[in-house]
Amino acid sequence: MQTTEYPVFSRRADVQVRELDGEAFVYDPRTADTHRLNDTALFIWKQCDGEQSVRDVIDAVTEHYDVGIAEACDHVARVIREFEQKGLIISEA
Amino acid sequence: MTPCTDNRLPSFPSVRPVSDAAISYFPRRLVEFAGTLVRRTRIAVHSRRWREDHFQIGAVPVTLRTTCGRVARDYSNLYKRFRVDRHESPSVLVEVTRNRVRPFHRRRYEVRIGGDILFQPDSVSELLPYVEWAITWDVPRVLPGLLQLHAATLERDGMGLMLAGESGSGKSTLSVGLLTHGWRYLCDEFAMIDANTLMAHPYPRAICIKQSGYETLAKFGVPHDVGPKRLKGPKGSVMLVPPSALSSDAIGRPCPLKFIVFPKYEANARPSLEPISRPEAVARLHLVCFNLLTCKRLGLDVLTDLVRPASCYQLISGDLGETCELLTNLVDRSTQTTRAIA
Repeated sequence: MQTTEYPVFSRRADVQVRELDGEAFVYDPRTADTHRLNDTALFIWKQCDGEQSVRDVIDAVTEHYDVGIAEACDHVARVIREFEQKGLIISEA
Repeated sequence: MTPCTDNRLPSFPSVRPVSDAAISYFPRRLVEFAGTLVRRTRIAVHSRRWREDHFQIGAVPVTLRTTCGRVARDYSNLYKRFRVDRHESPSVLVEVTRNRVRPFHRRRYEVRIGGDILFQPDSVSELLPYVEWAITWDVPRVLPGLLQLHAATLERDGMGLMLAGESGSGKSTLSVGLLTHGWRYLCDEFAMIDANTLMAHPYPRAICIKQSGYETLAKFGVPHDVGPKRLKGPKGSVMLVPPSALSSDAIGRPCPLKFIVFPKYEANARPSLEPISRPEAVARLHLVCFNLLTCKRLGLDVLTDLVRPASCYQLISGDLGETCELLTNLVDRSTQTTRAIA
């Protein structure tokens, strides 16, 4: 279900991601920066597919990790903001 | 005075002989000095006799071409056991020349790769470390199938150990220490990883020990005159220790890396090994990788595949002897476990 009032993000196509031991290593060829994602951040990263809104991501985190909506909301907002600041995702709006 | 009515241009000869009267116009000493400079410059230019030596140092084919006899002698002495007649495939070509053409300037040396000047050391005693650096500079071009990292690599019982870290983390000192503990040497500065097989290949260059490490190694039983001492720019004096001077069976064979260790030297600290996650190891290795983007296979994939079967640790190294024992025990325990399972 897509909710239009929440923003939708998609991963940048040129960013390279390699999964290792449940975590991930992200390499941004534009800046040559590297980033490590823990399992939760990796889960959120995978949800940023250009189709699911932030609300859908929060719901997915709530279901997958068995956490309350407030905690999931806080966590998803923080991680997505960080991805956006580092230029790893782009807004579909 | 008769006015000139001739509009034709006067025809001057292009080269006019200098008369004795013209020479006497200048102070005699100045003319003599100029003549001396011209003669010296001609001698310098005509005395450039090139000498070419070929070496196969582990996986790295090297050709040293120089007009400077001393650097050719020094390099040949250091790597005499790796000398070959010629290379079948392209090699790392380093050219070293002495620049004496500019008479009013201090004599300089030029270290070139592919015709480009990389370094211009002032003194002949600085040349050897710069030649080593220049070789390393060109390795990714000649051997694009190797991923090159700023890390020491050693081998024990067919298992590879990588000590990855920036300058000053103690890679070279630890390498010497481990060699005296029965390890075999692959390289002290540059890990050469085959991008397809993920095997660490030897590049057994002379181990470069900084002056601050002399005392530590002397306490450890390594004499401080085991290799030639050279200047290395701002780093000061360095000792180049041929690995064969430390152990008769010093040079290891290509091997898979089982242990990836990030050393950090802390004076008087108790040596310890702290496991780190593999993604953390990839992130750290990426920072010390020279040809992540130019390697034949995507460097990030190589790093990920390299780390996947390895155990990764952060090492706090203090006393050299205790640190070497800690690492040796780590590998020996792993060997025993593998044998028990088999």
